[in-house]
Amino acid sequence: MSESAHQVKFIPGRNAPMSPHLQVWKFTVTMAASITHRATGIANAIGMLLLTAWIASAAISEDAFDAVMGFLGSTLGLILLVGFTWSIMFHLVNGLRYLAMDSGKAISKEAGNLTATLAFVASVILTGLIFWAGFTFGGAN
Amino acid sequence: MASSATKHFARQRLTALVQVPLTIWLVISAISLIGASREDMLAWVSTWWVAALLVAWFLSVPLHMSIGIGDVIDDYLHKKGTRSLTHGLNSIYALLIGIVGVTSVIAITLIA
Repeated sequence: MSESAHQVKFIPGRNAPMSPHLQVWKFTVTMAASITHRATGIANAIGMLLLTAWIASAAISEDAFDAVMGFLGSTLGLILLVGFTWSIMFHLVNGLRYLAMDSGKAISKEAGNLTATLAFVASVILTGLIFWAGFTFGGAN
Repeated sequence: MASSATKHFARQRLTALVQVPLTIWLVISAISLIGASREDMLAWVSTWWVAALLVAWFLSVPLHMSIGIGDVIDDYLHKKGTRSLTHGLNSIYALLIGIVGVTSVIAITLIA
């Protein structure tokens, strides 16, 4: 990085700006989508433990695979899977929204509010469809 | 590319684009694998194009999540030491997921 004579030095914890401000805000659906995007991103990263355990256990042994499948099929496992699935679906749909916005589409206030609301609705519908398909076509029953 | 910030921005979008079709495919595959035995699972993973797509997934996702979580760390952790430490842990976690994922897929193609 080049050093310019008039470079402003931001010192984190002293004069660096906080993003976003934690005390001054009002509720908007786009704000909720933004926060949820971050939260689901972090949740997805943690959920990768489940997905990686699934593939890794198959590589390791019959016992390891049965243990992971047993856990995923338990009540706690299913609750985690529903949460992980919704988290992935929200991050996917809202991520598509951000990709569209990055290319200059749907960036008006009205369009932003509408697509943010749609992202929440679509993520719930998709999660429902996935679990409906899982219990209908999957070998779970 | 022009700067590290541009590279950071472009990589996050590129991995996002890659992951959209891969994630839809993986979710559908996971549904069809419910109740599958380990043998079915090994047969599926070791299909050459499935293995290739899974490796692509396990390369793209750790990069995407380390960039994303790195941004969250930059926004909320202001003490230099804590921030650096958390960035380090974030990188290690992404590397571990990537290494275990890719290694597992390769191991399955070798044993199946």
